[in-house]
Amino acid sequence: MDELFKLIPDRFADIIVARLNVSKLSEVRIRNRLPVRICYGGVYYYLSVGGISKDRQSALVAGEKEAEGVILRACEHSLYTIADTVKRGYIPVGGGIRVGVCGSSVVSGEKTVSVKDFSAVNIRIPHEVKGCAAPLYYSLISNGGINNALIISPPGCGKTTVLRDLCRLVSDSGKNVLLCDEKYELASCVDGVPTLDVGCNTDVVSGADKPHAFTLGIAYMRPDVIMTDELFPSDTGAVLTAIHSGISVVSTVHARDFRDFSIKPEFERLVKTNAFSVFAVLDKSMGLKVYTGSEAA
Amino acid sequence: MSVKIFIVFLCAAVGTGLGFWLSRMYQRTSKYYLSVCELISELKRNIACRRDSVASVMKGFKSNSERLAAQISEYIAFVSTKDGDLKLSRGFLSASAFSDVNGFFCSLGAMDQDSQTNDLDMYYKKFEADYNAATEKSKKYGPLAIKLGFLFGLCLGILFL
Repeated sequence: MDELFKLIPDRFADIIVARLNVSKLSEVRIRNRLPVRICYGGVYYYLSVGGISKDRQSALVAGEKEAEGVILRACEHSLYTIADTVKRGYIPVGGGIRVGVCGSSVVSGEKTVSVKDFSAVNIRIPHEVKGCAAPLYYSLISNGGINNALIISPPGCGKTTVLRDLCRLVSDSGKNVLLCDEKYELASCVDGVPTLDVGCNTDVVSGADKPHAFTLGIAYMRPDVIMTDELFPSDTGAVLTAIHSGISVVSTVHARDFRDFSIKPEFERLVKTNAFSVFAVLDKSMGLKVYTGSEAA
Repeated sequence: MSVKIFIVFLCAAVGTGLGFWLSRMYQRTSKYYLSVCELISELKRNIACRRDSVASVMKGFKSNSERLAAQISEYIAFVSTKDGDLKLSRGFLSASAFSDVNGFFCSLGAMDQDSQTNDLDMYYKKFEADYNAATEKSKKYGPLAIKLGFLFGLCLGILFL
């Protein structure tokens, strides 16, 4: 949590430390000149002098350039270190913390050149829930190998937490896992060492896009399983290449359920080729549900 | 007689010492600008490859100039605090030289990679010119100050007699 307290102003940090159970905190949302909001125990509250409040009037209000302050602290006053990820809307911070960034994009043609006038940040704090992926892990094992699996869930339901725990379980079982940590939030490596537990047989590629990481991994690291977060349409080719190379792939995707995923035209190739044989659907109210390909269909 | 010789010797020694001190003053400026240029080169190298934060590059940088080392410490302290502005100490620098250095420190980390590299190039040229001027001055006036100091001390000693 030290990373979080380095980012936010002391007047907010002091209240969180004094009044709240930090382990229940999963988000801190700071918007310039607006009340500070936190996600505490899965519920949104305003941050107030007394701790948390549902009343907007008692909320602590962020300063005029509070978002920019958080961003500067996140990059240790070195914007060039994060310019590329800011263009994609986030900043990776140590300890798996990811800062979502909003501001005005400076666009040249179809390309975002930079982002200025930062207006809001969403600091997302990861949680390690060891054992949460156990049901999925057992349904993935087949003839000593690992089935290709897709974890489906809307944002904020714990995909990354489940994937991280699954990675740990698969890795600790002796399989070589290649973890493509594009956004530095799965393993959150600092100086080449994962700060979150992703297992003892995991090789982590941080920051690289999936096609690059997959190609590199398949060619040189000989993984048994490749795991990665948040599949995008541009990653479909890389996933199919890995699967057709005899490597298992486990990934996550943003969707409400299997139907929602399967009707997305950009993932049509993955559905048609039956690339994934196990689907895990995460839902805030229902928890983790595991289906085989035919059950999901 | 030996007391008189001792006084002349003492005055000459004090004068030479003063000359050395003046000569060191010239060298100090030259050394300062050389260290700034080395720091800029180190930053450029790092930005081109590793892209570490300015503070971490500075933490690993060994400055030959005490003044620059002090300013680096002040910068690192500023980065690690949450509020406040960057306040560098001026030391022996002239007002215009300090203004340039302050501008250089304030520009660090405030832009993307390409802009930062261009900015560093611009500052490198500026400080390299300052280094050359300071070195020339040091070469010209440094030995002269020592010689003049010795002569001044000697004259003073003779006048005492």
